[in-house]
This record gives sequence, C-alpha cells and structure tokens, in this order.
Amino acid sequence: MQTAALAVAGGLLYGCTLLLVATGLTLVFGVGRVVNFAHGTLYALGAFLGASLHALAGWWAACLLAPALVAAAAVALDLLVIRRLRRRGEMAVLLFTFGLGIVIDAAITGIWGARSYAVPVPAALAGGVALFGGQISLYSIVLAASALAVTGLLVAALHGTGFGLRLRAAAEDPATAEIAGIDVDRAFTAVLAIGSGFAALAGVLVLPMIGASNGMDLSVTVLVFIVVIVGGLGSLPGTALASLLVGVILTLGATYAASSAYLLLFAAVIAMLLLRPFGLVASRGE
Amino acid sequence: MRALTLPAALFVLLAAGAAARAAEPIRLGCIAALSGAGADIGTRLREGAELAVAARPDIAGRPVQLLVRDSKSDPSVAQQQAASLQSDGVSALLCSSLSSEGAALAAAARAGRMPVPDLLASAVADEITGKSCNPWTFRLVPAATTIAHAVARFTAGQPKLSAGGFYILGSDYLYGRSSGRAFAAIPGIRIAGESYAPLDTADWTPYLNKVSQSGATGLWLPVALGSPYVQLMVAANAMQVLRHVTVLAPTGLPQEIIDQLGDAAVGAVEPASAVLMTEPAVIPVADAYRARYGRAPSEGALQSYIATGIMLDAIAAARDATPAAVRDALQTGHFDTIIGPVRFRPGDQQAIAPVWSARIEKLPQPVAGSAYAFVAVQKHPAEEVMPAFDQTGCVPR
Repeated sequence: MQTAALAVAGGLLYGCTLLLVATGLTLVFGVGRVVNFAHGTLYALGAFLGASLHALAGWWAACLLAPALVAAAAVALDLLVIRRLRRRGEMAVLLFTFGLGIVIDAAITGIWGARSYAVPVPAALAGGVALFGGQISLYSIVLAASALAVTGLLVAALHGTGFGLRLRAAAEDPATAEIAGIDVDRAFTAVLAIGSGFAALAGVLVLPMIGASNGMDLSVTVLVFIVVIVGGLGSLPGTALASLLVGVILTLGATYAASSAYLLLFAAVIAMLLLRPFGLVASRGE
Repeated sequence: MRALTLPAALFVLLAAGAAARAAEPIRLGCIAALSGAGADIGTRLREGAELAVAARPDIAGRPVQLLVRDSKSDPSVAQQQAASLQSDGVSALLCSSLSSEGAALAAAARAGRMPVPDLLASAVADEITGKSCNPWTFRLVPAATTIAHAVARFTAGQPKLSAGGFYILGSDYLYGRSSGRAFAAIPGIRIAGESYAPLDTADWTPYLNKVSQSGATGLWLPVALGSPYVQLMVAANAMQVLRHVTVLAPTGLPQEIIDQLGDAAVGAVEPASAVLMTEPAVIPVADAYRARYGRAPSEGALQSYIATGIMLDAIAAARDATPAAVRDALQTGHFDTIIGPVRFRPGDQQAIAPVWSARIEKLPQPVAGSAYAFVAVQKHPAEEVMPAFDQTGCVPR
C-alpha cells in the first residue's frame, strides 16, 4: 500500500512537469489552431541553453534567461515565417513545425555536441522528504510547485486581465474577435512566445533531475501530445487533469509492471478516448 | 626501336596501374549511433576511431580512410549502413555503439549477409559472441558473463557492499536483460529486487524509489548508454540514492558526467572495465584525445581507439586489405595495445584480455583535465573471468 501511495505521489509530481510542457502546446493550439511539432525540441533547447547559462551565470540566470531567449526566438520566427504560413492553412504550419523540430535538434547537436550536461540541485533545495516509507527529493516537490504556480499565474492572467480576455476571444472565435478590433495575429504571437517559454522553462527546471542530453525531447514529446489529446485539444483544465493522470499511470506502471508501463498508458488512453472522444474536458463546444 | 615501343608502353601502363592500386585508400567503416538515445556513446566511439586513424594515417603507402555512418541508435539502420559500406568497399567495420546494433550485425554476418570483419568496441550482450557467433564478428570488450564473473571476484572481498543485496535496474532491451541475467546468475549474489525500464524512460524516480525501498546496498545498472544513463545518474544524485547505495556500472559512466557529478560520483564501481584512462600506458592517449577534442575521453572512446588500432595492425599484418585476409589476420594475430597483448579466442572470437575493477576517485593529479575518474582497484586475468568456450552458446558454422 505504501509503495502504491509513493508511486501516486511521484506520479503527481511528474505530472506537474508534464503540465508545464503541455500547457504551451495546448495554448498554441487553442489560439492558433497550430499543432506545434517542434514543441518538444524547445523543451530540449531550454535545457541545453539552461545548462550553458548555469555554467556562465548561475541557476537563477538560467531560469530567467533561457525561457526568455526561446520565447524571443519564437516571436522572431512567428513574425518572419509562421504568420505568413498560417494564411496558407494549418497543414503548411504543421509541416513547418515538423521540419523546425528537426532543424532545432540538429542545431542542438551542432552547438552543444553529442554530450550530456548535469546541473547539481541548488544547495538550498538539496535533500529529501520522507513519505510513505520512501523518500521524495525536495527538488522534485519544488519543481512541481513551480510548475503549478507558473501555470496558475497564466490561468489567472487569462481570466483576470484585458490581455487574457483578448487571447480568449481570439481562441474562441478568431473572425469575430478580429471584427471587434482584436489583433489575432498579435495574440497568436503572444501565445507562441508564452508556450515556447513554458517549454524552455520546463527544460531548465528538469536539469537537476535529468540533466540535458541528446534525444531528451523524444519521450516528452510523445507524452505531452498524449496529454493534450486526452485532455481535450486547446483545453487548459483538461491538460492539467490529463498531465496528472498520465504521470500517475506511468509511475504506477513503472512501479508494478516496469516493462509494460507504456503499454498500460496507451491502453488507458484508448479507453479514455473511447469514453470521451473529444477529451476529458472538451473545449470550444465539441 | 619500334619493337621496343610496345613492351615499354605495357610496362608504363602496368607500373601506373600498380601505383594507382598502391595509392588506393584502405576504407574502414564506422557505424556508430550519432543521433538518438545512443548519440553520446556513438560519438565517443567515432572520435576514438578517428584518433587511431589520425595516429596512423597510412599502411604501406595506402591512406586509411574512415567512413562514418550514423546508425541512429536503430539496429535495422545499422544493418542498412553495413550493407552500404560493403558496397563502398570497406575492408572492415568498427564502432557499433549499442548491443542491439552489434547483435543485429552479428546476426546478419551469421546468416552470411555480411562477409566483412566487424570488431565491436562497445556492445557487451552475450548473444553477440554466443549464439550469434560467426567468423566475421570479433569483440574487444568483455561479454556480460565475463563482467558478471569479475563482479563475483570483486564483491567477494567487499562484504559491506553486498550486505543488503543488490538491486538490478536495467533498460528493457537486449543489453539490459542480458547483463541482468548474467548478474543474477552469479553464485552467492543476493538479489533484493529488479526492474527493467523502457528504453525511452525519462523519469527514473519510481525506479529509484523501488531501489531505496528494497534496502539494497548495491545497484547493478545495465542501463542503455547515452541519455538514459545520464538521466538516471543525475536523478539518483538529486534523490540522494547514491549516499546509501553503491552503483555498480557494468560499462562505466561517461567521463563528462563523472566530471560534473564530482564528489557525488566518488565510490561508484565499475567491476569490469576494459580500459582505464588513469592507467600509465593509457594516459598519453587520453592526453592526445583531449588535445584533439577538448575533453577527457570516455571509456568508449578509448575502447574504440584500441579496436581501431588492432584493425590497422591486422591489415598491416595481412598485407592485403580484402575482408577475408583481414579476418584471417584478426583470427591468428597477437596485438600489442595500450591495455597489453590482445588476441581473439578461436570459435567465438572474443578478445582474450584482462579486465579491471575500478572505483571513481578524486585524482591526486588531474588526468586529461579531469579531477575525478575510475581508478583500478583489482585486475582480473582473462582466464579467471572469461566463461569457457563451451559455456558461451557459440556453435561455430
């Protein structure tokens, strides 16, 4: 029983990390109807940038600058390429982001080489917390709390500010929002920046837990796409619920049937999609 | 005068042909995982091979050319690359990052589809020189069972290490399972628990919790080299698992991770290393590697350097770069290397070479710029740790 409780606790913590990555993906889809296949590589880019910035200027600089740099790059990319492609239809953007992911992956290998980077846990966050007969690292709790706090801030901004209102209007009905004077293109640029920054922030925050290494985006990309689909495309509450669910299923699977963990996850996903084809929390009237 | 013209022209043509043949490069194929989960180790293997070729750029006037191909950490891609390299006329194959790739190439060779010698510098799965043994596949690094025998010798003198038993935490693929099986079969070893994680596992927390809950004092870690290994070690450090459990790493740890973990890595054990950067004969190579690549070599890089050197020696001894001649030279040759004399056992073609049990320590003097590295604590002669040929499962064809 204690083992199961520990696995659930670990799964909830892992789910919070998935939430941070998946929030950006669902936000970008919600507002721009863009499936960003490069999202996972932005997470990896954040991790590698964070590792370099950590070596140059310390932990906090890495946490602030890496997401800011990735968000700035996303804005530039939107202004130069994506905005034009969006007028040509969703497929054009989808193919572009697919190629972009490959380019970013190659750029990471070119710049940082095929090597791994480890970043120590900040001294103030070292240590563990005894729980259910096991131990959970203090850092993973802080990581989960940070992910929840940042996502919570975003939700608060979306529902409590004029900026958030404009984003939600653009997501709900872009044509009407445009007539009402909302610059939908600018709204999309903003969510792409926020979403990319979130992915990069997740990459930096996981550094002390898993480091930065080539291919680190592969498993996360699969998981966050599952999260976004199960949660309901474009739905933030659904994404939150699905992140925690996927985290718990994976961790329970790893604890009790390690080699079948992904099999269990995919079986659960199929079952959920059969029961709720539009996701746990369907958005935009599906 | 005219009667002399024809023979003279023929002579000139023949001489020119011979000169052209003499200058024709000797091509060696290096199939390494340069992308995907094994990119870390694959890149090191490529670099080790490049360093060896740079140290010996020609044989008998013929330049040596290393043709590098990316296996993408995928055994089927490795097989395709091997076929492509054969078409390019390579004399031999090198590198092979992962056990799954090495096994795929060995299986192809056993089936008669790859008649070119392949010297594996990294893959340790028993099957490669066991049931997939064939006249074309050679292996420098110890097999999983050899490593397990070295563990048995090492742990026999370390009662504290085995007090709580061992937990096997491996990757769920050929190498992890093969190494885990071989470890569990060691007489007298008490297994406190075992888990095999999917190859693309990123969150190692549940597995490390199981290790902690098992009360094990030793952790046998046949985890895929590259990002999974790094992620696991970083997570174990963050969760402070390394304070209570001694890591036994069957294939070492990437040197840059040892450097970055620093004191946290001290005490981790590699029970059967094929080559140690801190051994006096190896240090000059480690320095040369650092001068070329700007960092200390991992064991994979050094293994690949040695394997490539052996291959070059075999080609020189054969005086013929055709695959069959190189294979014969490998089968019959005795090779002087930085780890001492090496030869290949007839039948399974596994290298007969000593292995070392080593522990990560803080070095009194940095080696190749690294302050922490594996240092030898026990040497195991080949005859003490290699399984007898009839126990390998190899049935020569």
